[in-house]
Amino acid sequence: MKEYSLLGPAAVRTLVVPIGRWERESFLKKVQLFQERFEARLVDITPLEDATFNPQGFPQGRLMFWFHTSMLNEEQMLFLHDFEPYRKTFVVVGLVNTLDQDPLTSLEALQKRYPDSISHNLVYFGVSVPESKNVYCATSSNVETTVCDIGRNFLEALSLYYSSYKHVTLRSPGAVGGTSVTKTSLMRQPATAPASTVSRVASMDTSSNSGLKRSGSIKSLGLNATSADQQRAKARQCKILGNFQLLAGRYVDSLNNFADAAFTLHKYHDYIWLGSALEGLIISMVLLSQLRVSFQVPAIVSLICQIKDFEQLPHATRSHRNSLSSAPVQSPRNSVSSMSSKIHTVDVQNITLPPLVKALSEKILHYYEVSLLHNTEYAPQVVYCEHVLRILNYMSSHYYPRTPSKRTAQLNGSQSPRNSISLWTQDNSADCFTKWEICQFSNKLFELQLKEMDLVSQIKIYTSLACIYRDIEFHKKQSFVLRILLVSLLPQLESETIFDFWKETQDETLSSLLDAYGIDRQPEALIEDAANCSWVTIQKNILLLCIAMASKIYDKRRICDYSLILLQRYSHVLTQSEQNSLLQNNILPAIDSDSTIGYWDPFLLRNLQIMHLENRREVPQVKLIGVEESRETKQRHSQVFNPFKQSVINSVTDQKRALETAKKFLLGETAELVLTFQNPFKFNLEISHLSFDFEDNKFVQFLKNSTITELPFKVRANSMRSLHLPVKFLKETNGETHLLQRLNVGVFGLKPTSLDIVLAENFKNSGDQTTSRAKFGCFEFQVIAEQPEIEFMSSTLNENTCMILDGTKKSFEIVLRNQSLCRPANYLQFTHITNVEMNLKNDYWKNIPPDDLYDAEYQLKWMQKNCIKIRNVPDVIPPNTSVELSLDLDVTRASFQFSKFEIVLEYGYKPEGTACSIFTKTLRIPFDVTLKRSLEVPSLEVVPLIEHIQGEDGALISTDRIVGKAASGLSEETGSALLLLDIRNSWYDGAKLRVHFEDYSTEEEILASTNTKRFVIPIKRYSFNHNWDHKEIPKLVSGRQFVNSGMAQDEVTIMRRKFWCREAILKSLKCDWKLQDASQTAGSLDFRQFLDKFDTRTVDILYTQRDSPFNVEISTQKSELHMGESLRIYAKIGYNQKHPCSETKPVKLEFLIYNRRTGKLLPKSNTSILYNGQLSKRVTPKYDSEITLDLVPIDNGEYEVGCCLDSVFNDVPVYFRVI
Amino acid sequence: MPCYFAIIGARDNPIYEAEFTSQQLNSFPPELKELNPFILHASLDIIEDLQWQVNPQSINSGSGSGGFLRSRNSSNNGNCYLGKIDHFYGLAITGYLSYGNMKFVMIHSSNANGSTLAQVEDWSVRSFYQEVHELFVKTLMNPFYKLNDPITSPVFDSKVRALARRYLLK
Repeated sequence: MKEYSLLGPAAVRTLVVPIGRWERESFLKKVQLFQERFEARLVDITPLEDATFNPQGFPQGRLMFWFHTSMLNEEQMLFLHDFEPYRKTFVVVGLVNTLDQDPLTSLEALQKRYPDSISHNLVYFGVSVPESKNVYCATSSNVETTVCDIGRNFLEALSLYYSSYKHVTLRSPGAVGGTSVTKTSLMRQPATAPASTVSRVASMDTSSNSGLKRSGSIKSLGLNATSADQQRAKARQCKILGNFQLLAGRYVDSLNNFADAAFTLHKYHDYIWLGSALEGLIISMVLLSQLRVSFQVPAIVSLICQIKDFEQLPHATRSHRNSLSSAPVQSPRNSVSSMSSKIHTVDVQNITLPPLVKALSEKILHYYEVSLLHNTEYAPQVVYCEHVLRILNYMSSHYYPRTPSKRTAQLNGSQSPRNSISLWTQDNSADCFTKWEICQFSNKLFELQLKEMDLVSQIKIYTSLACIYRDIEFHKKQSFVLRILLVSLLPQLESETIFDFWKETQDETLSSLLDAYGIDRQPEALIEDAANCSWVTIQKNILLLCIAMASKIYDKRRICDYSLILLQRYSHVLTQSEQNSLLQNNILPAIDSDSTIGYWDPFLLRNLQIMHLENRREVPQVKLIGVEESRETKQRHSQVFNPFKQSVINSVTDQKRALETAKKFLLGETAELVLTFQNPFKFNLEISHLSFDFEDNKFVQFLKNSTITELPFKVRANSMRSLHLPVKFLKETNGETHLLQRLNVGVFGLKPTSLDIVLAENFKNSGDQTTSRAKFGCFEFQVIAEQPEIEFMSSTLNENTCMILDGTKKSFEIVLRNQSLCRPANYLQFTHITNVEMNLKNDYWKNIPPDDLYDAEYQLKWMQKNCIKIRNVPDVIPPNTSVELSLDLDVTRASFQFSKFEIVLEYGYKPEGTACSIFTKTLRIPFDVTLKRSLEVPSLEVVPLIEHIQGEDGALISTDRIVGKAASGLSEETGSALLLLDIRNSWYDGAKLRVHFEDYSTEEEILASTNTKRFVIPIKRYSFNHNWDHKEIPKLVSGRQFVNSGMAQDEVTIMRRKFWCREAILKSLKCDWKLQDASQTAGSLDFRQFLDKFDTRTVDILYTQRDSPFNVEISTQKSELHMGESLRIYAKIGYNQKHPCSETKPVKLEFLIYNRRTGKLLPKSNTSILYNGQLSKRVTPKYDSEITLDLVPIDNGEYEVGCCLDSVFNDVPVYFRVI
Repeated sequence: MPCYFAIIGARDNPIYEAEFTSQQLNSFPPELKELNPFILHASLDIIEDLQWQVNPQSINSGSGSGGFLRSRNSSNNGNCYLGKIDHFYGLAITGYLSYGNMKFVMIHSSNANGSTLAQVEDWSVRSFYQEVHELFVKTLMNPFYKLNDPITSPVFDSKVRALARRYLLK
């Protein structure tokens, strides 16, 4: 039975005590047996002589026992025993399981122990004793019989007990208890007797005119007062009898008695007793309707509820209420009151009980409130509260559930006690209360100053209220009430009884509280929880409360648990002092007793890395050998641009971006472990322990004592800090990668926990399926065995630098040593790289024309192949030995930018057999070079040569060689030209030099320092047969794809012509020199660097190719004449055989006369030369094959006459001198 | 009279909390300040009960004590405003429910520090709620605001406080 069930006043309080040797468990089981059979039907009980409580008087009735095992707070409620006699523990039942004592002795002892109870019984379990009065043997099956017997005993005792009450003047609790009684203290103004009631009652009651002044009027009106007192006393007696009859199960009688009492008490304004009588009335009615006994609603009910019922209830009760108002049945109970003729009594079938109960209850509360104005006749707070709770229980036991499922859950749920009034749940919804109504009714409790009551009552009230809220599924309200309870309990937990009480129930209470406020969420582990925010203020508050409660009962384990939750999940709302005290007072002290507590922040370890020490030796890289890489894939469609080819080509010059996935460490190497810890808390963190996992520990270990010296490591509040520790590698990973994913970390001396490396927190995004709370990191590494170690010892060059003259060669030696004591370096790859190559961009070739590119790449190729050469490359360098290497440095064709180079040695140990990959290291030996200019070529010119110069003695030049060659028929006649070459000596010493062109050599010349000399070399012009127009400029690097340069066809042709002309000259032209110094340094001159691209005119001279379909040959008879002499110039037009089409259209021919000294074109009219006719003529080549121009020079000088045919110049002009 | 106002999201999490006090009026005593969220949280049960009623108006009008809810001014679009839904000692609690299941709840305290029950002026409180609702809808339109996340905008805060000054702290 619930603590404040509506039917509580109808239940006989029965204390069950153990006698003999009981185990708690089995005793409680037996008690439960009784609790399940708490009802005894009166029809089953042997009749009594006493008429008042004779069970036969109302055989449908029941005796209800309320079996309990403790008498908490019994004494404090003693003052209420006259007012509400059901509070007394009437029956004591001793459960016996041994035969140690005689039954009668035991019974006497029981009576002595509980003298206040009126009926004492012994029930033997498991042993048999002769049954006598008050002594029974019970088995599980006949408990009902025993309960009936106990009931009969009780009824007998009750009639005795009641007889003692018959002549007692009943005083109100306020009068009995005096000042110790807690008066009901309302927050609002208590109600006063409503005017309407007063006026209406006044018409019935002549003794007083208002409820307020009743006591005064009693004194003033002596006679009436006495009779009023007598009437009141009688009514009170009547009410008490009703209470006893309720206990005895005679509900019809109790209904009548309560009704009678209420009527009189109402008349005499004895409000507190009136309230109590009405409560009894409600209970009687409820019980009777539960038993389906028809009865008539007493007249007093219609009297009291008349106003409210008929004015306010019609909505809720609908048609039922109407039946009450218009009930045609006249009450036969005229004897009760003279008013009965006016007031209708109603049969119970015509009304719905629950709304009536509520209406009556509100009336009762009103009377209680009115009573508060009196000094002694007031309602104690306990009475008021308990009434509210009883009605609430009644309401909640059949509220109107919204959904059927909830309704059935309510019916079948284990939490609803067996004795809940199941009959009513079949009522239709109109009879039921809504949650809202229940909640509103419950709020009446919050108008009272509950904290002024004694603690046990408070606990009972709050827990009952919480249960009611639980039943109507108001879990937030339930938690709220529990929280109020805990807060009010907190300062008073020192009291021992409460202490024990609390200790028993705390588990359930606190955990249900944590659930209700959502503290069971796990944001540290579940991404869902982390994404959703919750009401942290409330949650923090509740946890602090829980901690306080736990600390009151010295439950260290629980204090620690709650503190951990608080720290772990709510650190962001805790102040520094709160966090500190949680840690210092709650968690750290618990460590000693409980070693299972781990650190609470799973994201402590934010990073882990192992770094190479600065002084470490180079770690070898894996290199594939033996497998030929076929990088040059066959390109089937070279015309198709393939954008993906880019990266392959770039990689030729791309600096190798070593994509290191796993770091490599040498066996036995010492490296630095860097750990980053986070401390989100407002206290300093102390890392007390660090260790690797078992698997990791095989490969890597902390260096001895390093953890001892570094730990404990402090991480300041709200910060991240890195810890550096030396580690050592112990075991080879055999080419595989080892993953370091977690580390064991202990904090504050707590049990070390294995922590993942957390790089970043994951956040919940819509549509994102990540369930992991964080992004975890790992550290990959490899441990490899010892490798050869080659060092550069020395070189014959001073400090690896040298100065060298351009165009010369030099040799030097270097010494290398394998420092390893056990491993030979048997894989050696020497290469070199110069600064010229290093400074090139990846796409240097992209935007330069092909002829320039050829030049540049020609030089690069030469630098790669010929610049540095190692003469004696060793196959192997044995351990601990040195080798000497001889190198040649050749700068004959080196670029002027050449200033440094590196010799790169890639080496490693290649084990026996067919390993396809080895570890290699790279040794780089840098050298600096200063290149000094020696001989240079400032300019080159080509002039056409018309006349033949005989190779006579003393002649500076001769064309014999060329002419001779032509004559021999080896090549066709192309004419000749002179190559004018200036050579300058930029060095400090003089130089002997000789210039060669094909098979021609000049005499050996001596060129003094900083002097320039011009060399004239007669050469042959190149014939058209070379077909340079269609010969592509070669590409030295294949596989590149050029985007179309946008050059027109003729531009390309011109470029090709220029290129091939220059190539032809460069091929033939050579120059050797020797310095006139002590060392006789010799070298050669690389013309390629000095010669610019040829201009169009040079090409025109060198290459007898015409684009025009015609060519014009100009000639004169004389090349020297006197002023005034006339000169005829012939221009002979011929067809160009090589040109594809020859047309016969008329063309314009124009003579151009230059002053040869100045190189300027003479104007058409001038003072130097007179001419006959016009300079420009229109000719048809077919017919006018020869044109003449007569001119007379009138000024001396040298002149040149050229010709222009359709704006195409002729090849060879004529010169004449005027003297 | 000081008020404590909160917007509660779908998972019973506060989206916005504010306490409206003014200099000439008393503010909440410290112990009540701590209790306010709890009182408010407890009232959510009632709102949740009310919001599922088929015909919310009918449930209160009949019974004697709960008749104030929506019995007044229920003719015009007032079904968001739930009126006074709960009380705890001297504090009255009013509620407002948006169609998106956002619960606007406010605790009204009386001037005389809890000795008398706080009076709620339905008209001004309703206006306050309606305007805050409007502000909230505007906040929802912010593409950077996610439903059920706390509102941290100072503009929203200042606007709500201005509304409170206009309607509540008179």
